[in-house]
Amino acid sequence: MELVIKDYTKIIRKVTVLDQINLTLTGGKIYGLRGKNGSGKTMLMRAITGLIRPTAGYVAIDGKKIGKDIDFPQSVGALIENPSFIQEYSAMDNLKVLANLSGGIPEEDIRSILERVGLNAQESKPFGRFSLGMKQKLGIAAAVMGKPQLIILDEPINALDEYTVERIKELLLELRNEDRIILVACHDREELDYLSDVIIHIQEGRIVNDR
Amino acid sequence: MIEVLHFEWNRAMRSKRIWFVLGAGMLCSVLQAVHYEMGGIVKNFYENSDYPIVCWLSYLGRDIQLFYRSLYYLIFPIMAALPFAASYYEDKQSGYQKVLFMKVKRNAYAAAKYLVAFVTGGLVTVLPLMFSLFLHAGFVPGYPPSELSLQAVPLDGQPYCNIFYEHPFFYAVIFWGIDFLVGGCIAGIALCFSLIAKMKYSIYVFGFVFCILERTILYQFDCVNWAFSNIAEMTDLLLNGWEIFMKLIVTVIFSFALFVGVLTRKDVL
Repeated sequence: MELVIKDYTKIIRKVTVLDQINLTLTGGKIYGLRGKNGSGKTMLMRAITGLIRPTAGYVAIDGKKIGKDIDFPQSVGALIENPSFIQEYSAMDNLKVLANLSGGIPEEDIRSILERVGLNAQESKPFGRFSLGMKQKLGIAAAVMGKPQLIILDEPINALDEYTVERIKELLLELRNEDRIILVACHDREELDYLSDVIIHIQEGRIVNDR
Repeated sequence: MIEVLHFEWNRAMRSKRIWFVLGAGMLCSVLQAVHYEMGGIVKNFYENSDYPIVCWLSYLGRDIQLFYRSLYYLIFPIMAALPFAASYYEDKQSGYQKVLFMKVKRNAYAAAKYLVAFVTGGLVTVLPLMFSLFLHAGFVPGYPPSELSLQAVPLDGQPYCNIFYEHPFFYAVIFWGIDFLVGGCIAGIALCFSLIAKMKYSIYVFGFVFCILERTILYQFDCVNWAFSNIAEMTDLLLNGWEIFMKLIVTVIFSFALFVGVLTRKDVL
């Protein structure tokens, strides 16, 4: 899988939030996105997932342009900003409805991913009564469920304990080895350096360097 | 499309609001029936009227003796919007929309949202009326209605007038069908408003405000018959069946196209 971002510019209410972004992301790598608050990290993630439409340029996945040929990447899992689910449903029910919408993922796989992020698949507690950490775990589980080709995680380790952070890192490295494209934004420099194969530095909506 | 429709329908059915609204409508029907019986209205008709009271004219949808029908038709735009018209706004505010937009096509999501809002809006408008007729049929005679009755009978020139005297139940079914469409249209209009709404509660009352404004404006142009509230009540209505359906179908097409068109082009921030 290859994701190409070509001359992508987004202007919202006369403010350029993404400016001439050019990037190529390939499978089997974790890309770390670094930048200050408001630098455009989340906006870039929105652009890749098709949540916003470009003012100029495009995002293409395997040659298919988002917003033109496809509405959103065909195989994507993302956690962008706060995890949000149906308040009255349990973790399992929430993932089951999302799995049905994306073409069906076996119940056993959903159960397994919940256990891996540290949630109990049997628990009937509704999402509305989850702690911040549990919500975050469910957000990550939803993003990686079904092992999509493209995984986008915005501050995934926020509100997680050390033990869970280790499990999530292990999971991401495993997915990378299965040839997935993983894009992670994180404020923790050490964690990001440890996880990432490539660091992309974004500043005021522009890529300033990537190594 | 079927999966997302099924998903949205389940969400609507699992929400407390639809059951609350249905409960309120049913309560209105029961109170009206109790008031009818306890207030001696049925007995009074037998003693003082040339023609006995009939259930086709005494149930919530047609009665003019008590205030319940007026109250019902005053608040029905709020009832229609309550079950699902704010669901798009809720998805947008909670961020759940972002999760869904990576699983389903935007136009499928928007179409399913509109369809479920329309159907739930129509159902909560009509089910209490149906319940009321069956309730009244339990203690008020079901004779064929007569123009001699002191109740609000449809007069010559009013829609489906002939059907009313020959097949009153069939007339009731047509009447419910029209009210279903009106309730659905109001829910659809409220859903369109949710695209720009800043507060959830404004979506619930938008249909109500819209109906009052529409009626006031149409009254100024001497065409109050075309108002949603008049079409829903069907009393003193001087439109024919085609005109009623034309107004409703145009509203459905316009509001559907507006909602789907705007939603598919909107950035999700």
